[in-house]
Amino acid sequence: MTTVMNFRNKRGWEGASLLRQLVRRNLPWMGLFFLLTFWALPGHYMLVIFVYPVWGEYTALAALNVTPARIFTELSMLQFGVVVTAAAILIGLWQTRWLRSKRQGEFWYSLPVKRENLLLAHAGAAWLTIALPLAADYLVVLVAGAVQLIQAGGSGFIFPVGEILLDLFGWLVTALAVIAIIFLVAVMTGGFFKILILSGALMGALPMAAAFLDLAIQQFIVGWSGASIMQHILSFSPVFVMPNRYGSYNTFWGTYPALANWMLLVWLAIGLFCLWLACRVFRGRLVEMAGTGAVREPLGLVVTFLATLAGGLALGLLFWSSIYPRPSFLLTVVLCSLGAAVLCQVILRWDLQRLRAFRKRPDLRSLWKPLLVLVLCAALPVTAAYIVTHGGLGYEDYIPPVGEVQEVRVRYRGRYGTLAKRLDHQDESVHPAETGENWYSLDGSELPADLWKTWYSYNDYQYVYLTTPEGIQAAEALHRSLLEWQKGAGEGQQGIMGSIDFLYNDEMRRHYGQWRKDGNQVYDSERDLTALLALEEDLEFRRQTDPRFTVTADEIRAIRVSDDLGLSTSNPITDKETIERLVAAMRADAETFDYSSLRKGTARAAAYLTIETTAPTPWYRIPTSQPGETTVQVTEDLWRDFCLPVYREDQKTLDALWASGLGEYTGQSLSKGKVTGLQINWWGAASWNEEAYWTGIGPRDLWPGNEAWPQGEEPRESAAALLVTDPQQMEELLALCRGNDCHVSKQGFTVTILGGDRTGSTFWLAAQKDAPQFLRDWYLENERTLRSSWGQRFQYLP
Amino acid sequence: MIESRGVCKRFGSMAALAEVTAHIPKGSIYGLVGPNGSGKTTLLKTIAGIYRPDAGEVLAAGQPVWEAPAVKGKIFFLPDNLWFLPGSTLEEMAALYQGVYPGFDREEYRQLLGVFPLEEKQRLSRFSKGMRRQAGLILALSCRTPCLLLDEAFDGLDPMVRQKARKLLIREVESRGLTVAIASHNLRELEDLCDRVGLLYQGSLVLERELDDLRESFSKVQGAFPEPVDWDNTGLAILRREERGNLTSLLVRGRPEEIVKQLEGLRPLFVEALPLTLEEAFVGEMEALGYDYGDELSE
Repeated sequence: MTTVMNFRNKRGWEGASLLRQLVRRNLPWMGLFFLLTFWALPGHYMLVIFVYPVWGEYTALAALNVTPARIFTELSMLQFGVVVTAAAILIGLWQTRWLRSKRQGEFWYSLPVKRENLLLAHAGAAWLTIALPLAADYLVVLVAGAVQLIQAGGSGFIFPVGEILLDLFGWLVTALAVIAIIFLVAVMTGGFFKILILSGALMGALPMAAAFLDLAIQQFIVGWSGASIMQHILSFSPVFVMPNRYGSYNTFWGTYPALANWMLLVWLAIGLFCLWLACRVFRGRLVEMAGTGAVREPLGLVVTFLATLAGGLALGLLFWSSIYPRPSFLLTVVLCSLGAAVLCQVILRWDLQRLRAFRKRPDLRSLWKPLLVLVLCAALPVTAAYIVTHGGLGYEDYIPPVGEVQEVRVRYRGRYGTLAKRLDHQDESVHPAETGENWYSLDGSELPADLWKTWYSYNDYQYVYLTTPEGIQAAEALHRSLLEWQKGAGEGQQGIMGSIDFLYNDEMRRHYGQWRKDGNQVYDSERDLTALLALEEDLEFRRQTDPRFTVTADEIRAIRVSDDLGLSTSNPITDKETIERLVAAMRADAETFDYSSLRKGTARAAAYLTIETTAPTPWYRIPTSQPGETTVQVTEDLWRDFCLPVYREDQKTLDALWASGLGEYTGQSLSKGKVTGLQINWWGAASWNEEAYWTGIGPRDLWPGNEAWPQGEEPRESAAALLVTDPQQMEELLALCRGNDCHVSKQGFTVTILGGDRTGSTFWLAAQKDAPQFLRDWYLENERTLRSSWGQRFQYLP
Repeated sequence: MIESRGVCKRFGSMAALAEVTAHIPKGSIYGLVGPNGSGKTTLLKTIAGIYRPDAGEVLAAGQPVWEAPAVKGKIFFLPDNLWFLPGSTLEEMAALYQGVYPGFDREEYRQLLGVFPLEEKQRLSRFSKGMRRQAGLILALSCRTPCLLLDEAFDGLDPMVRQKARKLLIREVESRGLTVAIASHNLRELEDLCDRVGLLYQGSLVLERELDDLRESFSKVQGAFPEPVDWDNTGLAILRREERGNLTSLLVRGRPEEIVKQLEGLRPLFVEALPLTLEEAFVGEMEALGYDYGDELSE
């Protein structure tokens, strides 16, 4: 007797049985994938967490602090990312091979399964081939992490389960999106080559186009500052969404943009949409399409559009930058866009047979449609190039009217910027913290892991906020000046030493940037300088940058007073009352001081105050890996020690000094008789490092007048330094000396005043144009040597 | 049970099927014949729901086949060029079919393995062409679909296995009213199997008839005629004529007894009706359509 048995689960999903069969058939792929990823993820992870006591706890923790989930090292992250992405692409191509083979296609099409279920079963099998080993990997990680957490107790081992699961979710989404795109393309075409090319275009063209557009904008639009845009651009591709998530992770703060998580949801939605669309398209797909080079619309059009956009901008920029003299960027984009569109259409639509047929019987009328497509596809990159080369739709020239600006943020702190509180240049990559406690290790040792999160670099202390009409006007005048200069700058002149940007708090909230170019250019015109100095003279600006306004008595540990030659210095004043009096007097004088005298160079110092602040002594040290326990909680920003002149017009300060019994140091060159010589060194603003500001080199410290020169560092005459001992020449030079925060133009001389017995000296500044003839002659005689000491690459004004 | 109504199918500029209307009665074995490239396989694939007709429709039990899994579940198509999952065994293929064909009968499958002794755990890729064909037949019959479409079903089978397969098909037709459509250009193997035949020529179904009717509508006669005969004016619908001396062989449209009677009026030395093979009937029909069959069918 024959028994008819129905094994099909009629209540379940129609494709479930197929899916099971297909997944079973993919077991060897799964095994291989698991082996590869096991080494990259759980293998590496267990190696680090279980042997970290050998390496040192913080080294191990730091090694894993590469991604938010803290389960990868840099090496394993790379390996894992490459393997998962490559596997998703390969499995996607493998699982769609039946769509490229007529024979295989007929087999599957003949089965009594709905088309969409047939496709979903294959797509599901492809995804599960990736997903199951991935889940196994992460399960091992979770188990290993939990074991280590129990073992390690409160030793600082970080095990963010939520982030680990989110990480897994991210890779599952990546695999889904990649596979879905490949399936969508596969149902709309029939050949392996086409699937590969078109999938690649869909996944890569948009970020590529955006990246090259960004490069073009940076190249052509003056003031554009889109440095951080790259990380968003990469999210336009499922292949890069996880690497981008890792890349945007701040290892210092343990944070990353929320956008990185949102993009996972976006790609999940895109992946599901692609699958849905693929099912829709697949319903009408003819089996005879398999193995052919046919491409269904609108895929061909979309890919042509994307490829033209990416190819036009990329090739246009590459050609533009590699040809000299430079052609028009717009022209190169037009040509390259058309070229890319033609190439794309040829690849998509034409085969050799068709080309031969056309050559035999050219039917020009049949070309008008493809030509129209080419023109339409090329229109976007060409339009983009036009906008980029013509001021970015007014972006470049736009400076909001003063009346509309509520506040302008300027990333420039003027001549006193060198007093900004910086830990170390190595921390420059660290993002600023708006709030929070700040910890600093006194002895340079590493901080406990839980304090790392609140420790930040002082490099964020760099903005000035202007709200008064005068301040805004000054900022805008500088902005305008820089803009006009940079627009008119020829090649090789772009970029200005120093770094300034403006952020206007108006309805537009736009950003304007001037970016440093490796410190090898000098500022340009006197007009720019005038605008810059005018900004620095603005009271609101000064109130935020000049330490006379900002430093408080509580931040001062001691003050020493030196005379105008710096050779006579008082004992440190630590008396709180005196310090408070002096600080109050300095502030009162600063309110009324004519800062234009600094610009004009007419200000003359009557004395100098060397202010020792309460900053912990080793605040500038680079943390080391040596174990240590001493830390200090830093609750506010710190000042480093600095020196400021007291000008002859600073009457209140002078009075305070007299009232404090320090009047003898003011004014009359107390130590004039001690001067035995002057050492002259030439300098140029451009030669200074990034801390040198346009308006001068900032306040300079006096050499402590009561200390001897260290052995080997005594001033002496050389090809780069002139020793002046002639009393008349010395007098002439000393009369020219300015306060150490005066503007001295782009180049000048430092004057080191030498006291007897190798003791006592100070640094002064003098403008080159005001230098006496003998000094100018000396400069001309030694120009080559002097300039070579700063580097030949600088172009100095005569 | 299966009906194609004005089915058209084009591949690019080539018309593979041109308004084909065919009827395959339930419980019959339908032979689909025609020269190479006539559209036999295309028609079977269209019936199986693999190809979507450009025009017309295919109905199974009155329901359209295209994108109707329930209807497709009643049809099994065994192609000429068999494909199995790479690296799969017969057992694995059976599991796959079991999952998608509602009527798959595991017991039948076991029985058929006894008829066609194949190693079910061996990879199908290691099977010979004939063994693969047997595996296909096992799977096809195990699915127990009401309709079976076979494209060159016996190609590659040795005579013994071929005989077994024919018997199995006949048994299934008799026992459960299986409807079979077999496409072949080898008429000899269809001759004693089919109830009904359809002749495809250049994408058109030029003839569809019960096999017995077909045989009766043609006559093969030979006779010796001492006097020259003006064959064009005999009033006979002669499809083919061969003369060897006085002996003349004719393939004529019409019933044999009527033709013999008519020829006797020409005073032959003798005239007789000969048995007509299906092949000869088709050759005649094809030649009448202007197709030079030659020896193609005499394999």
